Amino acid sequence: MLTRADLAKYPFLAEASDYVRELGFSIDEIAAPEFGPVLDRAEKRLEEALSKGQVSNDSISESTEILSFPVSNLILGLIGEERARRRFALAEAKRAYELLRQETPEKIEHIASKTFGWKLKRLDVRLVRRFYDFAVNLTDYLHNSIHLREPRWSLSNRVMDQGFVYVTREEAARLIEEEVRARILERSSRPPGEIPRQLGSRVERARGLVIKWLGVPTHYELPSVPMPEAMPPCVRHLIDSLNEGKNVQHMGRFTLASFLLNIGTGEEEIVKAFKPATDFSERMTRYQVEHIGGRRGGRTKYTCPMCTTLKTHGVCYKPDELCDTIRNPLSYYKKKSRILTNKGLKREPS
Amino acid sequence: MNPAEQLIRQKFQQYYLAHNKGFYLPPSPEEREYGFLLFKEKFMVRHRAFRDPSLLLAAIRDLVPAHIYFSTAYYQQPTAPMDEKGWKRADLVFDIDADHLDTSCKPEHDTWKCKSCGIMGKGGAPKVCPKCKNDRLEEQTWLCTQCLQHAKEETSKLLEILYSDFGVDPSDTHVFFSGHRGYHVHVYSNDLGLVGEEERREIANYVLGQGLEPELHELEELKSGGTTVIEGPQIGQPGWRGRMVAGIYDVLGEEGEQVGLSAAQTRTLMAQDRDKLFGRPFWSSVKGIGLTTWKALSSKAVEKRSAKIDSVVTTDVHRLIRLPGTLNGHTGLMAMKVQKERFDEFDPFNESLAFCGNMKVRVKDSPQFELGHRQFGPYQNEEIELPSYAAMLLLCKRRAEPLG
Repeated sequence: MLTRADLAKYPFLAEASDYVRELGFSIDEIAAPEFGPVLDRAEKRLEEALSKGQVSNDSISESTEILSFPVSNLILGLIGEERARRRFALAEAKRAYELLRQETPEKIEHIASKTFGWKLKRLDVRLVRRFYDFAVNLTDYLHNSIHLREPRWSLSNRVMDQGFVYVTREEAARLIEEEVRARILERSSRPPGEIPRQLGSRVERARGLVIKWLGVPTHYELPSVPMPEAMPPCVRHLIDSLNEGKNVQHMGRFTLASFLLNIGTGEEEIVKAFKPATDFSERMTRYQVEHIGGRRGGRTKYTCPMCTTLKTHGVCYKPDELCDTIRNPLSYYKKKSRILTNKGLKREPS
Repeated sequence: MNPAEQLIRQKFQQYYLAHNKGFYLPPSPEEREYGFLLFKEKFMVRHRAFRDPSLLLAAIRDLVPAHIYFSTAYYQQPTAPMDEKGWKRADLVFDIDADHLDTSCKPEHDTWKCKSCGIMGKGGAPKVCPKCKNDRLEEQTWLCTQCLQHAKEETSKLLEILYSDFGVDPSDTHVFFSGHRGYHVHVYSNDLGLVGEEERREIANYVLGQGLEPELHELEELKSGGTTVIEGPQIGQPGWRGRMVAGIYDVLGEEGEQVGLSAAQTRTLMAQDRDKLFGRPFWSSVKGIGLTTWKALSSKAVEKRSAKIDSVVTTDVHRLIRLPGTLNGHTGLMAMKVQKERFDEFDPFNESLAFCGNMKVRVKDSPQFELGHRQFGPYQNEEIELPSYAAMLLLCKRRAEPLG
């Protein structure tokens, strides 16, 4: 079903790994001169991912393409840089998408079902004006569509029949892109081991590329003193409501307490924030705050609920533009405080 | 515990001691967490597990809780603290409760009171108090045949969506009466059981038709050679498309008027057979109805055909939910499994009665109600002997006090 040319296009496939294994190379041979092109291509894959966010498709030879992919992965794993791994996975996935969308339905079906184990059916259906080539099993669909935010991916806007979701060929390619991204990320996450002598200089060069394109990793610290002006609209609304003597429901209270705790507000301060509540009980509030902070009960320190949860419970309030870019109120705070203090901005690629 | 609670607890104890049939048992009952809400100080006993159904019954007889719950989730260690339980999967559950439905009879039997300023009103509680804008509102709800009928219709719509769109096997789908104001639907599916909260939110939104945009279902205007044609889905197409189109016929009356349909336009549409009209490309066939009106009608149709579930319950993968076969402390009625084949005939206010004999109580005030095919009330400050099931309802609803 898959030719060697296909494996060159999709080197993340199980069949490509088998192919590499069958060639039976050992790590010692990597340094051999005839391996030069493979190492060069592996390095180029990384550089393209880091600089442009997309890996090109200018194949020199099929076997170079197939072999260079696992080498890129190996180098990335050895560097152990989370940001670089994410960027590489995304870039390789995008490359796959561009190629996949032009494939025949047979090939797309083969990749989805054989390599990724999706349940999917071939369709040949036209509804209104759109052609649907596939129906993807609901769980496989949701597993990947959940990361896609455009309204067209939400289940309510899909055609679903007997647990299968209709998709066009382009949409199938897009869903596979998500699957590819997740799988590559998983593959490069093996803990970095000792760097083989033969790869030493290549790994160093790649490390240099990461710094060149992504900058020195700066672990941005939250402001040491809580910044009220960096708080998201929902949290500010909760504080305002309490101050106005309005009642705040359980989910709102939990959100406020866990948010404040996580940005480093002291327990005393948090208890004070709840004081204006009509039914304020200092003893009860203190107990609950300590519970959320992990000092009581199950000893779990709670984090702030996700935005989706807050939407469901009606805690989300007048989301602004920054809200579109985050999934948790704490991320909002992190971003906003970074903008406000103008510190820790990512270094521009030089 | 006040005297009413003591009496209720005593009756519940008698019921559970006499109860030997065992309860409804979900799949893998030993992998579930159980929770009991006690009469005493409304205390919740959680994180309990039982290797054997007889041990569960023994615990219930011992504790005599007001409410008995089990987890929709399956855990490696159900008794461990929450984050150490080892979540394996969770049944897909849906809750349809009259509390969330907008029924026209609510003003007749439900009241609310603002806990802050004390004003009261009839019907379902508003989100915030109209006077002081506080959102702490206390609701006094009531059992009502009409509300339950409405909940049943929503449940039927849900089942249809689950069977045809989700392809859920009817033999994996179970319907339960909650013993109060609604129905629960549990789906035992290996596939769907593993999906997480975000995926379940998508499922809940689908059932609710939330976020559905008619244009993304290809209801569009096309310009070709100077003429504008509206194209869109047709009846018989799978999923929301066919359902939406079929639903348009149902919203032509009152709702049609709301979106600006004239009486003449409605007549033109209603004069034709639904399947005939909507089975062919009809979107451009009615003079004066443009894309905006069709979209508005489509949205109304989706609203009508959607099933009004409580999405919080569906998305929670650690939810505790009422154990069928146990008593509901809000009513003294039994939460119970309903045979789907005879769901239409199921009479929640007759088949869920748990208490026999008579009891004397002092009723403070009570709206009219129907139980066991009998009409009761309204009552106002009366001492009266009632069938136990009716007296228990009034006691549980805090509308009556024990005598003597």
